[in-house]
Amino acid sequence: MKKRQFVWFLVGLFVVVTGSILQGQPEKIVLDHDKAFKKRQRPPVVFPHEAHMADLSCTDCHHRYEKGRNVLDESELEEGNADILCSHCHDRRASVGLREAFHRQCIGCHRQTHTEGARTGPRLCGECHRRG
Amino acid sequence: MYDFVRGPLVWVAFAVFFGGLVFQALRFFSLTRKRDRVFLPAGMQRRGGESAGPSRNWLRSLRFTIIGTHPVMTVVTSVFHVCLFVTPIFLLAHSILFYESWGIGIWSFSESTTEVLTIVFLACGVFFLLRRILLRRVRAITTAYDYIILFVTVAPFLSGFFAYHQWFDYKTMVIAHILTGELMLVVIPFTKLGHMLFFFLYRFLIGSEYSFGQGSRTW
Repeated sequence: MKKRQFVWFLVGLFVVVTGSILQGQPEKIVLDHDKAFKKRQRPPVVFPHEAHMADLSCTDCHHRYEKGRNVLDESELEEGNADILCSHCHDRRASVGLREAFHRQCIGCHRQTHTEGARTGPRLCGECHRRG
Repeated sequence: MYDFVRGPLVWVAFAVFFGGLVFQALRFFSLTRKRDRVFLPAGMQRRGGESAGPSRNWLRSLRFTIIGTHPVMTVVTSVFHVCLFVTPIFLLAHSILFYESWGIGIWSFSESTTEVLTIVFLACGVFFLLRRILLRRVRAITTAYDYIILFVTVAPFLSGFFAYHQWFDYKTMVIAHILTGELMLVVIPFTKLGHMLFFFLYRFLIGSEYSFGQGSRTW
């Protein structure tokens, strides 16, 4: 366990040090929330972030709602800013928990886009929570 | 295809399922309303109190029920039926689908628990299949219909298990899972699976018939 933490520390250090040249967005993000999901029921979702950037603007997904309006400033959306993580607000105390937040955001949009007749992402459990 | 089996077909399946059950219950009551008086020969008339009510040695008398005569079958069939109801109702993925559609989710087992229940259920299904094939007295009264009914019952669990593990083509398996589930719901009221309803009715009917009903429904 210690060894693993050390590896993660090195990865973190690498990201921080080289942060200036890694300004680009990550292509894929593993939505792996060990703290929120202590006993994980399904494999974590690999989210293709880059694939979503072509058709959507940042604030289509990233949000901070105040009085029903998304007041999030796009300049806040930089890597390493813990405040912009979904789990920052959507925790156990939130009215919309983390699992539900992801489900609503992903399936909700995919379903709506599908209803509108456009090509879209998966809607079935195992299409996101892939095994092996 | 997925949209169809998950959308309109679910409504059709549940409508036929509940409508069919209500229809069969009403039919049962209308058919048993007429009281045929059956006059038993003098010696066969039961006196009140002889068989009614729990016997003093009820535990010993269990030996003469199916629990005593076929203990293994009793256990397997009980486990089978408990799993049949408990597994799909308290399944996490079902609960989430329900929550997505209706905004209400019920408590559910962890997926690993559900997996165990499914394996136990499938094992009981295999037991029933082998019993039909291997036991001569059971084989003698078994027709293709019995195998089909067993398959209809087990298929949603088998396809659900495969879909959960993402074996073969996932999407096809999910569609097969939903379709077989709907098939089971639709056929329950109109086939042998109707014992889901009739079991309870017959228990009352036969009980009352033999004690004080004399061949007709008294309740």
